Amino acid sequence: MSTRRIDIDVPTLARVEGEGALELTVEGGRLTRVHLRIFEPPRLFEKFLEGHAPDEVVDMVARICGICPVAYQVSAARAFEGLFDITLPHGLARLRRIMYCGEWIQSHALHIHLLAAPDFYGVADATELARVQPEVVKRGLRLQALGNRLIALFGGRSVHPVGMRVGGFHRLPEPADCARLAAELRAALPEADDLVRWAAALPFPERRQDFPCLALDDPEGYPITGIECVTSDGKRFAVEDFEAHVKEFQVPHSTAFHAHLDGRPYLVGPLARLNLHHARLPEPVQALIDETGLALPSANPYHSIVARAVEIRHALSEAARLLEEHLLDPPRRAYEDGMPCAGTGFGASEAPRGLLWHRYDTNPHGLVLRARIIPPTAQNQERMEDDLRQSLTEFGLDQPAEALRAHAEQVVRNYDPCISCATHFLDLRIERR
Amino acid sequence: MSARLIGIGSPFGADRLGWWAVERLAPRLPPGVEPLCLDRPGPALLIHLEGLDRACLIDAARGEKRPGHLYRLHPEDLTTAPAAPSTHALGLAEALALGAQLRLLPPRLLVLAVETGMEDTPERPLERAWPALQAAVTDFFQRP
Repeated sequence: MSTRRIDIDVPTLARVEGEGALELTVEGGRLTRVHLRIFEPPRLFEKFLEGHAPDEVVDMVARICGICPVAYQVSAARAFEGLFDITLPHGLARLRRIMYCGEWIQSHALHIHLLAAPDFYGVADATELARVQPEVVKRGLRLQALGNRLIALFGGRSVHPVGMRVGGFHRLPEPADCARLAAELRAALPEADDLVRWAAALPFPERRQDFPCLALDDPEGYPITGIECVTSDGKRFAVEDFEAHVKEFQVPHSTAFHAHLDGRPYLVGPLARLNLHHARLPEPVQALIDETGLALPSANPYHSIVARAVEIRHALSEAARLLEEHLLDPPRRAYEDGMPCAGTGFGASEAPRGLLWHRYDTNPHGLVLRARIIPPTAQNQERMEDDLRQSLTEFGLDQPAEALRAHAEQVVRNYDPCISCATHFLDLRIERR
Repeated sequence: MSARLIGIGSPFGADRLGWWAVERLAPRLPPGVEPLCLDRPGPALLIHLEGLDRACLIDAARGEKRPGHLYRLHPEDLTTAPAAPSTHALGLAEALALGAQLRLLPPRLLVLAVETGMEDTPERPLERAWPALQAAVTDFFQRP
């Protein structure tokens, strides 16, 4: 066994959303330190929200992330709707689901094609990938644009959309725009089928890791929203009881909280959703998964990329179907009113990167007294560190520092961490002693 | 000829300059030139450039010149970040570099960037740049 100590320092992790760092120490042939270091100062968003009215909060939280604003808006709106006793009619809930599909499509398309794919072609970034695999990058751009247009259909714009409000939307979309987009979504399905086949054929390392998965249980099908959470070890609990099961805690090397689910690191996100709910996907999507040979549930974190591709395929057909239903039976009003009151509201939704949970305490006028937001990247941090320990050990700790660094970054990238949400991210230091 | 004048920006602050400029220039554009305003498009910009004969982009810039200075730039003048950025930070230079690699850029592409300095709003820089900006846009679309 080597007695060398090797320190590997990645000062800025590339191709993740935001900035962070990774510090590894290999000592006596063992990984003795794995620190995913999130150093961006806390953004204090929860404090900014205090004193604000619910509809202001819905617009403000969209500013937390440029990639997943819809998830923040939906989780916040659901919290206030639950508190103010607003039940969204089916037609409005359907429109929320369509808009959310747009966010999955654009976020996943960007991650797969611009951030993750370069690893599998041995190139540094998307610009180099465009040189060797232009059609792969073009597919990503086309899908991202389609997702953006779905968001803009309801939100007025795709970046920090403003169309949502507590009780529904500020206005309903134009029928002609819905019909046009539904047709374009259907036309993109063959390309999305190819995307799933392509993603499943990528040369993933063999990995088998033990981790619990957490996702919402959505009565409408494959989860986007819901009032209950389910875990891969058979637990089920209400969104209101999230804090009883998920405990956040500080670690010295990160400005974002870490979290445990009933005392253990855990996974949220596309692979967690697919592992828990693949049987709820429509038959054509399940047939496509079967065709690729992907066995579910999967214990290989690299399959997150396939899960994102599957979710793009599902979101395209789901949004097309729901837009067609909407055209036949549109809601009569753009929103439902509620009565602001004092109390505590809880809302959750499945952001592209995983379960996003909000809690708001309000005064009798409905103004926010306290807010608490638990984003998916913070929940996945400890799982990422566990994965790094196992993956780098299997990869071989005697590998050159540059190879270890590249492998470590790839492992982190599988989680599509959004450090801007968690707070921000990646700078690798590897120490070998 | 298929051509677009594209303002790049966001709804608030000096970054709105590209939108303001396109809104003011739109009534005077030659036939066949479509005005378009895009909100921080990132790589999605390329979808709006694909298949065009020529395109002119107007954006706010923060450099070392006096507010209102007009930079006339071609894609090769723009340098990309040394490390591959996150998609949160994929800016105009990175999007155009990607577009060049994918051969999605129009044969004639001009970037007009107006220095905003530390100004909070676009009015003063745009007023200062206006004669040069208007002339540059007119010349670009009228040139054979």
